[in-house]
Amino acid sequence: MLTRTRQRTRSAGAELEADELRSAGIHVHFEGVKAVDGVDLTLRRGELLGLIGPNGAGKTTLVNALTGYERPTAGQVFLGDLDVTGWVPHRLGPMGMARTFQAVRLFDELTALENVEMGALGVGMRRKVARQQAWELLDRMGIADKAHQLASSLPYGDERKLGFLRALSTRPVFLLLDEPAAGLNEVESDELMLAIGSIRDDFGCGILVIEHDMRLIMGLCERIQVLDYGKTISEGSPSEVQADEAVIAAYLGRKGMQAADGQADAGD
Amino acid sequence: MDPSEVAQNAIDAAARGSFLALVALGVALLFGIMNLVNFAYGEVILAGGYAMLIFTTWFLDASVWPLLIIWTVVVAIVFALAQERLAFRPVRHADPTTMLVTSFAVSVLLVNIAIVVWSGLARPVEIGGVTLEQFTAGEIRIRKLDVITLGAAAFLLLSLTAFLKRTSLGIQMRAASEDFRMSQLLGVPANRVIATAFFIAGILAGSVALITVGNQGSSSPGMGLFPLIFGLVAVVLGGMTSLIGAVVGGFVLGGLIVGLEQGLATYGMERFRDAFVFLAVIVMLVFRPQGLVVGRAIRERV
Amino acid sequence: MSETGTSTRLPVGGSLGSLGVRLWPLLAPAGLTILISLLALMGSEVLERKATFMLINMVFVLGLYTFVGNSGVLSFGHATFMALGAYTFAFMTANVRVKNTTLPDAPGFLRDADIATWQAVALAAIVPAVFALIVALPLMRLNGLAAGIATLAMLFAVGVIVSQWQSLTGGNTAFAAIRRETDLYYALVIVVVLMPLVYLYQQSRFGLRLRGTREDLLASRSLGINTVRERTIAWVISAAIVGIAGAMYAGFNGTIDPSQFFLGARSAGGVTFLTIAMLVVGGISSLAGAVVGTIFLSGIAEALREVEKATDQRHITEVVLALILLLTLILRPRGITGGREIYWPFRREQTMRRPAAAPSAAGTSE
Ligand SMILES: Nc1ncnc2c1ncn2[C@@H]1O[C@H](COP(=O)(O)OP(=O)(O)O)[C@@H](O)[C@H]1O
Ligand SMILES: [Mg+2]
Repeated sequence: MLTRTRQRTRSAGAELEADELRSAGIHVHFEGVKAVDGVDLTLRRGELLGLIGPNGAGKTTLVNALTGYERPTAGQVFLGDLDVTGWVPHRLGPMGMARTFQAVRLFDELTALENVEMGALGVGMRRKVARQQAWELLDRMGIADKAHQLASSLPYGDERKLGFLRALSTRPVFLLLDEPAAGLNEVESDELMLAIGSIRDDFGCGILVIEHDMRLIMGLCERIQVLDYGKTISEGSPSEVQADEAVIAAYLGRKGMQAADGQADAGD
Repeated sequence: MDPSEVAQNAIDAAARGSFLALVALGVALLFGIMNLVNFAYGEVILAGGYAMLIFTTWFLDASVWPLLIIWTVVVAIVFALAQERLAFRPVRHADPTTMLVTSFAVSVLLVNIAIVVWSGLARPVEIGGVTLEQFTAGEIRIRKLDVITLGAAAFLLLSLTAFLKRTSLGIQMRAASEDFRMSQLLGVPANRVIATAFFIAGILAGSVALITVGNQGSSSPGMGLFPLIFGLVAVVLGGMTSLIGAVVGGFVLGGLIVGLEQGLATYGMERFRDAFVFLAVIVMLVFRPQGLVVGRAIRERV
Repeated sequence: MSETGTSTRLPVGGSLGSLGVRLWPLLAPAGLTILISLLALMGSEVLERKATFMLINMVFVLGLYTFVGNSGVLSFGHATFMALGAYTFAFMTANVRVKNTTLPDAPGFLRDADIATWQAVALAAIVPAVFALIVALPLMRLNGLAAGIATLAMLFAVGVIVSQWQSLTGGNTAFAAIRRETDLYYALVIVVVLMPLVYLYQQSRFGLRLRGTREDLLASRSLGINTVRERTIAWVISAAIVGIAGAMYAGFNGTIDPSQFFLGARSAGGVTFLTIAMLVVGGISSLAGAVVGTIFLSGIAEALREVEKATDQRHITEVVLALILLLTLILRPRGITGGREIYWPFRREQTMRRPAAAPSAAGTSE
């Protein structure tokens, strides 16, 4: 139903027909740290792409560069044929890009409903339309009964869902999810992954999922790209990636470090 | 401009700059440690000013100036510490804007108490003739008070530097102003570091009070406002997160003020001087928010 | 906020009663304001003047709230807009003969201006709004402390210009003989018109987007929200409202001078402090907070003014108000209302119902 009523109120026009989001040789360097070091990535419409790699591999930074939160030190970002390198985030939203954050970043003092509405309002929909759509989305994830609660009062699992719905309410063409299942238990994670799959089917958008857990990502994505130390070390179908020596080495080699990183992550 | 005029202007700029550097240092110290822009810092200066009034009317006259100085600085320190304990500690974990409003409330509270007690008018403080004395060398005139200001600023800056570099408490303070949370994790005691910052700010404010009263010969409820505002301007120019920046900002502002006065005088517009100063603040905040001297990074990660 | 599950309850579609319940967050504060004003009308003339003054402050605080409450960005600079509105109103309505003698060097069109009061009020909204639009370009980019300091710098810069531009404004001498038409009815009409507008803005997509930036600046940008644009809209609206407060004040007092608006050695906080205190004590992020805070602090201030008169001791009021603000910040930082609106206390579910049109079948795709 959502797909059918989809009428764009966006200002962008023709560029929206972009059928892929592409990065070419993206570098993001911080003083001394080459967080992203020459990555090519393509996300097609209707595709579910997994982006994995050990902690600190540069996944978040890559998404930041794609969504305008980090200006690439070198390299380019394209939406279809349009060069959007260095565009600020709020220009990319109406172009069909949306993302979630590793730390969720909800609008704490607003209700769940308003949080979801916000995405639609951000890309220029009217309040009435936005509200209607927000109810549908909340229903879809089974949290409509919490619509009027403040986001800050929701349990963690619902927060994650809400962050996802908020991005979704912009009716994105390309949706980038930064560790959407982080901190969820196994049941919740599986549920969320199912929802992500069904959203892709209904919306026909391209979804990039960053995920730590190999098991989750293998079940969900058709294609997987693996980062380590800011570089692509492998790319292909789940089974290809799983069998790749380089990937195994990266994950095993960093096992010890990962535990320590995980703790530092929890801090922010 | 002939050489003696240039020299005269340079001396004026240096005197004002060192005064502003002292205020700015106090403001920046508190900002660095606890993200507090303290409006009520002006009222620590005010407390020092009225302490001088009390001293000269009730206790002794200003000829026992070493006692006067100690008394003024001690009162300022007590006020600074009281502010911290009573007003800022309870809101320490609030966002910077809340702390800013808190300091605004404290400032208004203290100014109005001063008005209730001493009336809104300036009260003359008998401190002898230091204020008027000046040296002359050819066409250049140097006020004795400016020399004292420069000397006091130099002494305080050097002492503070020594304290921050040499003592363990000073090193902890530097760590805390670099990254407060990290320093907490490393075991630097928050209360002690913050109290020390207010203590030092109190010393600086007391000195500023002595100079201000020396300049205007009186204490008044508004005497803290303009030093504070210009100190804040200096901090913004120099860089909010760096103590060196505050000092640099103070001298830059001193130069800017003297330059503006000279430049605007030719158009008969010197009375608009401060409008340009505040314009400079806005321009700085927009185009170079990190200030002239860059301290710690303040960008947020996503 | 309630945890009522709402999807099962039937809405009372469209009746006047349900509209009233839905608009309660507006009707409650508006009703309270009207009630207090009417009570004052029945009292003495002194009381009437006090209530009028409260309403002038309320207009200021409503304007301040429109920007600060929705954006979360603090402004110390709104008194600038009040001054611009007041001086605009003064130029447009003050006695022409007096203007020509006291301000002989001001431009002729200002000296000879003499327009209808409502036109002068409109102009007193437009002039600050245009000024706000111009300064928005640099200012609205700033966040947090930088914004606070920059708005303060704006206040001081304009204060210097107004008080030093002798030939135009008369400088620090009072601008006198302004048309005095602000009475309680007039003030109440303005409040009753403006309060719904403020509420409407808050409930509009513009208002909600701005609150998104308040809650999380970075996250809001990912949704396509242009922070600078949203803030500018609120900033300009709020400047217009505060400008009207300036016109009301000028028409109330009959004379104005810079010290009434700008911070200086003499003003000891002034209107900037008073209005920030009202908003913070009431609760910074709700309309209810703006209104309740204004009424509460006005009541206390006016009572204390009487004490001041009786004891011949000025500035007690400011001391007490500052203490109240300080205690609020320490003990109840979200203010009296907790920053929430006032909802209809009975049958709460109706205020929060989902629209009747929402599909009952969840998850259409499955
Ligand atoms: N703003 C920043 N400044 C400095 N270093 C950063 C910044 N953001 C990320 N990094 C560094 O870049 C590397 C990649 O980080 P990130 O992209 O968050 O990894 P991932 O999401 O794969 O865990 C890490 O070493 C991290 O510390
Ligand atoms: Mg990450």
